[in-house]
Amino acid sequence: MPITFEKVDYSYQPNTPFEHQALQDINLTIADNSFTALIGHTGSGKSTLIQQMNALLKPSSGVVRVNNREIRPDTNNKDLKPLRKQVGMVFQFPENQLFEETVKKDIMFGPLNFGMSEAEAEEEAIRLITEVGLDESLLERSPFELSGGQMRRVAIAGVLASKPDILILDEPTSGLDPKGRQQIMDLVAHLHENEHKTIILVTHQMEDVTKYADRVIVMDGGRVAKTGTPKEIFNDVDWLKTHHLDLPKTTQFAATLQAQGFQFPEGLPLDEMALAQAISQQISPKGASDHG
Amino acid sequence: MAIISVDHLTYRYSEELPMVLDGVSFDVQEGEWLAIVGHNGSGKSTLAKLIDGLLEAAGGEITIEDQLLTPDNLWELRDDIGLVFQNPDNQFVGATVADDVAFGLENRGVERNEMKRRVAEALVQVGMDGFEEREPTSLSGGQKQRVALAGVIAIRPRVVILDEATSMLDPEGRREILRVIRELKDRFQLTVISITHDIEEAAHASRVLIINDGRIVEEGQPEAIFEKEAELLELGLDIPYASRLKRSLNQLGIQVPEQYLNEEEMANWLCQSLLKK
Ligand SMILES: Nc1ncnc2c1ncn2[C@@H]1O[C@H](COP(=O)(O)OP(=O)(O)OP(=O)(O)O)[C@@H](O)[C@H]1O
Ligand SMILES: Nc1ncnc2c1ncn2[C@@H]1O[C@H](COP(=O)(O)OP(=O)(O)OP(=O)(O)O)[C@@H](O)[C@H]1O
Ligand SMILES: [Mg+2]
Ligand SMILES: [Mg+2]
Repeated sequence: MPITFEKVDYSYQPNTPFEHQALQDINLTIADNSFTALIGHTGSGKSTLIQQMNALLKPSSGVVRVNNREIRPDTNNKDLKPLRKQVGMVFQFPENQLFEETVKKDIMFGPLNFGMSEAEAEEEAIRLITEVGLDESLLERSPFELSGGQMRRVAIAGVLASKPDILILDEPTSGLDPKGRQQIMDLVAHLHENEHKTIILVTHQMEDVTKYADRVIVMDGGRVAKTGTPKEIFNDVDWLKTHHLDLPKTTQFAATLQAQGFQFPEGLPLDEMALAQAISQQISPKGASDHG
Repeated sequence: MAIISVDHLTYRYSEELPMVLDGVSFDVQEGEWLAIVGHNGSGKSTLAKLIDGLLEAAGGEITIEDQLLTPDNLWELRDDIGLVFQNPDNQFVGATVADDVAFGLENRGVERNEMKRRVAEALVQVGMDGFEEREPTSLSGGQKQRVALAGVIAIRPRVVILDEATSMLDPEGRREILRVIRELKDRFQLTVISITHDIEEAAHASRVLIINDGRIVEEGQPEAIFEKEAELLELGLDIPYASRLKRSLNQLGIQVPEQYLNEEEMANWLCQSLLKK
């Protein structure tokens, strides 16, 4: 079942002087097994939007549907457990989701809570800690005695341990070192391709959008400003400029080259290799040295 | 002149745990922009906290403005250092954004009108004017990082330490903030230490330090560091975009000059090689 948003509005602190409408008239469908990137600048409503999908926040009006489950303004908090099992969420600030005495207990918490046996949960914890690129020796450490990037990895492992069908990641690679970024994104891509998980990725890394997503949702001022494939989104250079959004590095660089005489008849390339190939057909293999 | 000198610094969080910093030595020159890069858990935030006197070294010395940092003078020396924490939630103390940004000024006994002026100015600089009365905890991730930064630039420290202070900003926001820091640096002779995983932020620096498992393994100007592609990749770090493209071109049999080219140089070189003009 897809995830749908129908006329969803959301206001923080309603009926107070601090009332702030963070979502306006959101209508969306996110298909099963899709990989959706959610982009937009600071304060555009990305984190607010995703939290509607596991009822951490509930619409002020409208309805969200996730796997047949309806979330409405008056949905009560009873039996949200099945929903929370299906929808795993890695928060923007991972510290906020760590709470156990040890890293191991923290990773095991979800699986135990959702009925996995102690032994199985422990096995998962040991498997996942290395999958997220950490040393097993950290399992007995307190999750609060870790570096920022290590905490984030533990939080990711903890969410994956519950084996959700839908995985929502709020800037999961911020604070990770380059190798860790790659590792985590590969892991997510693997879950998407091999285990057919639905992925929703909030990110400012346009490269990751082009590399992994099949669909992009652009948020602006609490509204959905545009949806499309990465190719559609990133070939509308002028639109992106007016919305203060960046092109992926490759596309940016290709646009510079285009202005200086290079040609990209199939549209601006999105990744390095595609750009390199397009370039290679337009220059001599020895480069400038050949014709002085 | 060295404004900060770190000499054979060692640190461990407890006796049972291994050394997190293991004989770290370097100087920071007044007015320079020093970037520190290194993998997760390599000791960067620990180093920042030691310099700010939030942790006490196990061994070695830190000298700030020619004074040896000791428990007796750390409060005084800390007044000249502004540390933006990796997680802004750990930085907030005020109930509102305005109170929060004012906090450091109050502590330093800045007079009330001057304080108001500086709070307002700092919030404009980070693009957060209009949010004065909001609770810091109710901000979006990127907004929090902006406010955390405002709290530090308002005190006009001599040294700012940015611990991944732009990690949650959108690309445009990040460039804006880096521009603001650069302006402040020029205007107030500010010294900047930026801890970052972002290669473009590191490229802003006058010098880059690479830390690996608690030791400094490389030090040099960005261009010199970026030449060491193989080593950077080996350490799990990034190489600049132009270098990545160069590697892809090499794979296709195109001979690109071996030395490091920045994006502009790369574009120029490619245009000169274009077959039909
Ligand atoms: N608890 C709250 N009370 C009031 N306003 C809030 C609250 N949480 C968020 N907001 C506001 O709602 C808007 C959307 O916030 P949200 O966290 O969804 O943004 P975002 O797109 O995730 O931004 P970022 O990229 O900075 O994380 C922001 O203007 C924010 O200040
Ligand atoms: N409070 C603590 N108690 C025990 N060990 C800690 C504590 N904080 C950090 N460590 C450990 O010290 C080492 C260095 O941590 P530090 O936070 O300095 O790393 P970092 O370079 O800032 O990493 P990151 O890029 O992930 O932020 C890590 O191995 C970490 O696990
Ligand atoms: Mg957010
Ligand atoms: Mg750190």
